[in-house]
Amino acid sequence: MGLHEDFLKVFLRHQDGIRAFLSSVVRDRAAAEDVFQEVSLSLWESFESYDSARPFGAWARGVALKKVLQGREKARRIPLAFSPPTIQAVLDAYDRTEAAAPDTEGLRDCISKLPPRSQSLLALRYERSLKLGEIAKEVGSTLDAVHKLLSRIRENLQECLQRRLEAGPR
Amino acid sequence: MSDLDDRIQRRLHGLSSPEDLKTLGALLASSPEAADAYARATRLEFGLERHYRDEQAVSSIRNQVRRVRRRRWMTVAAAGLIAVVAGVFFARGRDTLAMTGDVALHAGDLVTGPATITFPGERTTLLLGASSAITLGAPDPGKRLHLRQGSLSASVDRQADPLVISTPDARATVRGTRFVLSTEQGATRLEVTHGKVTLARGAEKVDVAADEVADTRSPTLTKGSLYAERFAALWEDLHHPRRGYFSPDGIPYHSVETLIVDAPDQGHLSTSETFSYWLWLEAMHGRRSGDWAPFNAAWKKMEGTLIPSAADQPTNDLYDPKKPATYVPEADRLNEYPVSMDPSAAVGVDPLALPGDLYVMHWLVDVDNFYGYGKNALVNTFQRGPMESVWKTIPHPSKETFSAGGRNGFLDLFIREASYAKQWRYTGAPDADARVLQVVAWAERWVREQGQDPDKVLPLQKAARMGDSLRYALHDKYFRTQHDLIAWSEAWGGSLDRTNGWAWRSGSSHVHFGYQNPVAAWYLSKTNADWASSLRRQLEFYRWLQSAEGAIAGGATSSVNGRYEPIAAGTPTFHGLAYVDHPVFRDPPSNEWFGWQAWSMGRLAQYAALTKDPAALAVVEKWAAWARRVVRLTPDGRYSIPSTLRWSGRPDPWNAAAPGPNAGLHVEVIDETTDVGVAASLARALIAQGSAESRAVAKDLLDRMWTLYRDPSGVSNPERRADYRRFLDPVELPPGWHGALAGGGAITPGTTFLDLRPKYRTDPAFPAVEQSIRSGKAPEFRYHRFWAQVEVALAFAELAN
Repeated sequence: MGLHEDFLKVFLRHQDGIRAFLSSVVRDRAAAEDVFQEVSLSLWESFESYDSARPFGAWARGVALKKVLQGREKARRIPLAFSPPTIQAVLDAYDRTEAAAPDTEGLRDCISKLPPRSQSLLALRYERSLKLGEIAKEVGSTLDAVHKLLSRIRENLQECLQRRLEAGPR
Repeated sequence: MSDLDDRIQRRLHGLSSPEDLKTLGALLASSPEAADAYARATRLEFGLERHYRDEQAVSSIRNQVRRVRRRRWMTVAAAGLIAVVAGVFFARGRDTLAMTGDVALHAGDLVTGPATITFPGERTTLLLGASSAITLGAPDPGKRLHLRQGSLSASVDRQADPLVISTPDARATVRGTRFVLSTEQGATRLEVTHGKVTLARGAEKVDVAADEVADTRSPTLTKGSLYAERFAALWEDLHHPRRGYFSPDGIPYHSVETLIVDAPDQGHLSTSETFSYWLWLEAMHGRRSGDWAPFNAAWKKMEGTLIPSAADQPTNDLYDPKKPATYVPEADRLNEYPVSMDPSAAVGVDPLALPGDLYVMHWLVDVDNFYGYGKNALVNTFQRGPMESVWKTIPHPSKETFSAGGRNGFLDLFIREASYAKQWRYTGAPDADARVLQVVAWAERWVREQGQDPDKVLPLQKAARMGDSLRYALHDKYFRTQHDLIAWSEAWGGSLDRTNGWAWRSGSSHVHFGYQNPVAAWYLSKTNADWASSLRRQLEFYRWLQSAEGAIAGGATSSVNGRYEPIAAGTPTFHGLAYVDHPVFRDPPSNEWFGWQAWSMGRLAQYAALTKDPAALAVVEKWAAWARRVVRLTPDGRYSIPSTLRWSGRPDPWNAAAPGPNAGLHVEVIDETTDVGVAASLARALIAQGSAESRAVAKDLLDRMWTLYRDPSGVSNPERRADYRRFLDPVELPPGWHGALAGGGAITPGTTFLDLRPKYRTDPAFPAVEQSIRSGKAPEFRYHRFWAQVEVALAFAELAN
């Protein structure tokens, strides 16, 4: 298998983790996506120097961190959500929680087990990409109530994913 | 929600002010736990975005439909180099006869399964099975279909003109009903669950009504009982040597598949639960056929396999009922083991003082010598308190001769002593023995209905002996009280050496509602006062634990935390026992599993039906109303039942004269499953409750299960096992503890679940587990658990009766 295939294989597996990390430390989503494009290119360019004995996710996030911090000094600044020490702390946390990343099947399964009302709220938020205020209008509720409901739904999903990880049926 | 969680969620929702972000940033920088929580939340957020993006991309191409006359395939590349998906495009314009997904179907179209076909303006739905094919014909004047191969499950609204489905050798005429039509090797089979369908072959014609089946393989068109036939088919499957349910010497395995981690940690182990279900199966066979030989053979095998022989419990004559056992406190956490004995703690007197050997089953047997202690060796796993999930257990032999393990075998992993003696010890799971006695109660009745003498046909003396020995489960672990409920375990043991020999016995302090069995107690109460008290107590227990919604909450204990700690202020009590929401184990919490509801309430429903006891009837009726509400039967022919329950609040303190309403005790369903075993248990409970609504839900559930999950070996649903990542979980050992496995291999610090079960590495299914651990994608299996197959078979038999 060539270098290109090797890269694609690991990159495809880890790109969600890189994207998630970037959007967790960059203030707005469009900027995070721009950084991701740059990071992807950097990863591809420096892939030959990647030591395959090391976890790819951690290496790639290291590259992303460098890009993000460099971006602070550029003219077209990357709007960061946090200070560099906090970003470093988040990066460390991503390394620690790598094993608990939600898998596609697990997430699909956990979503399917939610009550229909929760599923439709998620669809409004993620399928139609509505802001919280717009969702509140759509379902005839308040912004605060929608915030609480979505938070609760995520909590349930986290629990479900955790349960899948830890416990099997009797 | 904590302040941190709320701040994280606000950030995800785009509601954070610059000031909020600063505070959140400071929290994340100063606390790794906070940073971990943030990482998890943002990963999930991204996962959700990704999920919904992917769903949109594939939502319109789920059904594979082929057109006979013209087809055009197109591939759509989505999201750059990431996903490539395939779809189908169709020309439109003529009359739309039906739809599959978003695709309109016309006369002449061929549809291959799996697919769902609907018809405009009505609820009629056809579910086409996998590897099945159907052609649509032009209306004449009703709908016309030709089933070329495979099977079709249909729910048909009332038709003005009959719907006609032809097969290679027959024709079914339908006016409005539910049925399954299948064709294989030129023959046709029709199973009707509602209404009536006329099946014709040439000039022959037969009207097939609800719960009937007709098959063109017989020389003349005849019909039979659908559900009796399904019971018989599963009975045949379970006994067929090629299906693999039994070992070569006739012991039923936990499951056909070897790689499976349930409470038994390998499929070719067997349990007292498995044997109890085997007896159920053979009792039902006896009822239907009048042949009780298989029941008696199963009993004999149970006795020979799981009830320790006199030679295997050799020092019972040295047992002193005045000092039944030395107190050992239970610990909360794994790393607190081994725990020290406390000979100074008070222990009660064993009032049963049964002479000689106990006649109950040990719970676990290694049929194929997976662990290396010999074929059919009795073994044990769980020993270390409420946090010991199966992934943390250390398998060990019931007869401890120090041939494996460490210097003291495996004893010093669990209990700390000055010196250790070679010994035997067994643990019963009393729900299984009670199930055996419940079966005997029914078998006796059925034999009598057949005009025979039960004493001559059934091993009733042995059953009475089992009921006698099972009374240890009605006692506190150290005989401080007699709680009269069926507790989590009973255990007994002794030295292997007669010089300075000894023996001990214990009950259990922890009581789960899921273990109660009022049918067994009722049966045994006719000859034994202890069981009469137990029956009354069990009935009160169910009532005490019934939530506002109707589901039954956890249980109670006579020894708080297994250490006789004082009952915390405000804890509701029941005859001196303290309420426990999740008795015995907490990883996962024991009363989350919906299966307990179906299992235990099925027994209470049977008892209520047998005796018409108004108190039991009231509890069962309320429970069944809840159970019917939480079953989901969707228009696409699928079903789901609760998997995990979440509990809040507590029961009112027990007052037998005026039981409280438990207005503050609530249950909620937090996720669902299609598990065939539990679904069948639920169906059986509803059939036993017996109302028309309950029976209708049970029948629908079972029909759907049969259509969706019948396979060549039995019935099985796909099951994703994310928990199999835990094959690599380290298993806690006491510091410095080293030992050896029976089959060779060292047990050293850092040992894993897999290291302790090295034969798993050569299991044919293991590469799938390894691959899933590498990829992070949970593996999917289809299991044939013996108990689940029997439960499905019994449900059909009970529907037929």
